Amino acid sequence: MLEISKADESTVLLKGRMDASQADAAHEVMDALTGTCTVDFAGLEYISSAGLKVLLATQQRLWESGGEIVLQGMTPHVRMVFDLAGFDSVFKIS
Amino acid sequence: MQQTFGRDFAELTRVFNLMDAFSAQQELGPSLSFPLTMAVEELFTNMVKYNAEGGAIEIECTGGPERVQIRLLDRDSAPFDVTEDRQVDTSASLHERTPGGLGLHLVQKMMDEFHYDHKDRVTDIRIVKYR
Repeated sequence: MLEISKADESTVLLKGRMDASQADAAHEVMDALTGTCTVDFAGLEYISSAGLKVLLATQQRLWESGGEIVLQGMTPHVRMVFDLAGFDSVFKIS
Repeated sequence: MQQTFGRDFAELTRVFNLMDAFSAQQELGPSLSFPLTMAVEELFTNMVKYNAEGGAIEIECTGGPERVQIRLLDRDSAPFDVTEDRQVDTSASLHERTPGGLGLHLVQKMMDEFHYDHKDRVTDIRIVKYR
């Protein structure tokens, strides 16, 4: 299960698993983001390519209007997925 | 451990439950359970997406002292070699990135062994991680 909440207008908190069954719900929230936003992964235990695709589409959309998403708080295993996908070069990860 | 699943994304919860139970039984830490679970999700969702008319999908998990293996069987499917290089460019710029093939690329990178066989309309995929 994936829980998505907002700490403030520009910070999204993810908790749980970002898998193929949760991708539509994640897409809906990410589609509403504008400008530059932070996505906090501290509570995210798991991500698959379905979750990566949602984040990539969001980054591409925001980048066109001068914004971006900045990712923070990844666990080592989630970070490994980002690195293997080469996403560390298209996202700011803090 | 072996279970049969319907060809539906809604079955992913049961797939994850199987992987959690297998990981607990085999006392796998996250460095093994995470990539195995992810690989199974990628392969299962591929079977759901690209063979919508097929029947049930079987997943069989076996563990040994030196390796763990997951086998996925799709008994009514056309050939599609999931082990082929998907040519994903992980160094492309943001605007050049496309999501196609990303899931199988990750499976190839994360598994120690990745085998595919197709015979008499049965797709037989085996993934292995060394302990």
